[in-house]
Amino acid sequence: MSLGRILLLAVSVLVLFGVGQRVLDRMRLNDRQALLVIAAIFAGGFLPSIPLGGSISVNIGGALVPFGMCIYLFICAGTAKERWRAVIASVLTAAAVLLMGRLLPDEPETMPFDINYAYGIAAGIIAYLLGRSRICSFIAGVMGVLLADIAQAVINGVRGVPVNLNLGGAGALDAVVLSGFIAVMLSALVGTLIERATGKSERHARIVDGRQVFATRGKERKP
Amino acid sequence: MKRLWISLMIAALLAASPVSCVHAETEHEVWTLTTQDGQQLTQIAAPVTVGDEYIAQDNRTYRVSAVDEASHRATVQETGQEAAVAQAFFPFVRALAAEKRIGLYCTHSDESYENGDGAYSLEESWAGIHDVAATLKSWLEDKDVTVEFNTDSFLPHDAGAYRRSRAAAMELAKSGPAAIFDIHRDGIPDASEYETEVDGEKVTKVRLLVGRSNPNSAENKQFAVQLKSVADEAYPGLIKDIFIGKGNYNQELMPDSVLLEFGTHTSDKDQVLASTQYMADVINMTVFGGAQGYSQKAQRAQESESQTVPGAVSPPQNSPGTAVRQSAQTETQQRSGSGVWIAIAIIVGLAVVAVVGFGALSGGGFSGLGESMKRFSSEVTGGLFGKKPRE
Repeated sequence: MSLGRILLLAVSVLVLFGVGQRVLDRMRLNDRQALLVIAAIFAGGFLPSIPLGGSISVNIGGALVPFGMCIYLFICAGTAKERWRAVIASVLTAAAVLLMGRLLPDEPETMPFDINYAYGIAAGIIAYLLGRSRICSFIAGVMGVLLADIAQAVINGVRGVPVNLNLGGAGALDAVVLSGFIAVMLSALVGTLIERATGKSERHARIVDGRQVFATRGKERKP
Repeated sequence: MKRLWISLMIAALLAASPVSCVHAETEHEVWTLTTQDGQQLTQIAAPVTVGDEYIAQDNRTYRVSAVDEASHRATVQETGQEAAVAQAFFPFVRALAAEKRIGLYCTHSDESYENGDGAYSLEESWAGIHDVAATLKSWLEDKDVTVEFNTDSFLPHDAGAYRRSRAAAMELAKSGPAAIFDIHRDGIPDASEYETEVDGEKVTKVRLLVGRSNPNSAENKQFAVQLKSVADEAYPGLIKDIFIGKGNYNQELMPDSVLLEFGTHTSDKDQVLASTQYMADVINMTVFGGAQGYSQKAQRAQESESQTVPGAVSPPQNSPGTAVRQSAQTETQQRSGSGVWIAIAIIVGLAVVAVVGFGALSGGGFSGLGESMKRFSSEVTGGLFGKKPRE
C-alpha cells in the first residue's frame, strides 16, 4: 500500500477517534463532513479524469474535490484578512513548487525524501508563517500544486514545448491531495508544539448560534 | 492588498528567473561503484548514497558502504549472491497474469540518443525514448500482449517530472495491467558499458532500477530479480544489472513495476531498438509464462506453411502445469498478503502514536483523550455507549 493511501487512512482514523477535533473545528468541519471529503477523494480518484479539451484533463478525487474544499474553506474563512493570507500563501507555494522543481536534482535517488511530501511541507511553513492558520495551510497546499501545474503548462505552451496537463490525475495519491493534508498536519503539529512550549493557549473559532466566535480557554468573544 | 501584489511579484520573479528556464535534461554527475579492493564495478548517472544496493551482472549483490563526494566514488561491500534456486525454478515461482496486458510510459519525455536522434535531449512531443517504447510495444503485441503506451509528455525534465508522470502511471494502473514499465535511457558517457551481443546480434544492455523509498520496494526488487533471472537463462548478458537506490519512481503504485534503462545517451540507437525484441521476450516469459522466442507472426507463417508442408511443427506453447501454477499463485498471495498486514500494522501504529501524542499535547493530557474517545463512542452508538457531549 502506498504512503499516500496510508496517510489518508491514518487521517480518517484520527478523525474517527476525534483526535483532530480542534483542527477540524478550525477548518469549520465536523467529523462526518471530514470523512465524507476523504471518501470523495478516495472514490473520485478511481474514476477516469474528465477531459477539458486538448491535452488538459482534471481528476475528480485528485483535483475537483480538494478544489471544492478550498472554495468552501475560503468562503468560511473568519475574516477578509485570512482570505488574503490564503491567496498569498497559495501563490507563494506555487512559486516554491516551481522553484523546487528547478533547483532540486531531477533524479529521485538524489533526494533525501520523496519530493511529493516537500510541497506540503513548503505550503505548511509558508501558511504558518503568514498567519498560523489551518485553513490557509490546506488551501496553500492544494492550490499551490494546482497553480504550479497550470503555470508549468503555460510556460511550456509559450516555449513551444508539448503541454499535457492532468490536474490531480493520480487521485488520492496525487501531490495535490498529499500536499494539502501534509500542510494541515504540519501546521497543526507545529502550532500545538509552539503554543504548548510558550504556554500560550490557542485562540480558535467556533460556530455558536450560527455565528463565528473566537474562544480562548473559557473566554468567548464575538469577532 | 499590498501583500498580495508583493507576493505576486515575488512569484513572478521566481518563475521568470534564469534558473527556472532550465528545461532540458542537464549533464548528470557520474558516480563510480568500486569494491573495497579498488575494482570498478559500474557507473551510475546520479549521486549514490550509503545503503543503496547493487546486483551485478554475475548476480553478486553489493551494498554501498561509503561515498566520496569529491571524487564521486562509492565503495561497495559484497553481501552475497542472488539465490540460484530462484532462477532454476523460474518462471514457476510467480503467479502468471490472467490477462496479457502491460503498461508503458516515459517519465523523462525528452531522453534521446546522440547517435541516432542527433541530441541526447529533444523537447518534442516524440523523442528518441518514445521510439524505444513504441518498438518494445510492437514486439510485445507480436506476443499476444495488449500494451497500453501512454505517450504524454511530462516536460520539463526536472524534479517534478515524476510528480507529473504519476497521473499517467495511475491511469495505466486503473486498466489492470500485469506490470508497468517506465522506459528510460541512462546518462553515463561510456557507451561500451552497455554494449553486448545476443544471439550474434549487437544490442545494448538493459539496466533495471528499483526505488527503495516506497512500501512496494521489496516486491519491485523481487520482480526485477525475476526479470533478470529469466533473461540470464534465455539471453545471457541482456540485463546489465539492477540498481536499488533512493526514490520511489512511482513504483509504489504497483508491485510489478520497474524502471528500464535501455542503453545510454551515447549508445547506438539501432542497437538500442534491437534490444527491445529480446526484452519483450523476457517480459512475456516472466510475466505471462510465454515461450522463448514466441512470435505471433512467425507462428502464423509456420501454420500456413504446415498446411502445405507435411510434418511441420508449430512453436511450443510453453505454459506451466496447473499444479505448479497453483503453488505459484499461493506463494504470490502469501507475498502480497504479508504486504497488506504490514500496511495495516503501519496504519494502526501511526494511529496509536498520533492519538496518544496529539491527545496528550492538545487535549489536556490523557484525561482529555479519554473524554474525546467517550464523546466519539456516544456519537456513533447513538448515546448507548460513551459519554454524551455537554449541551
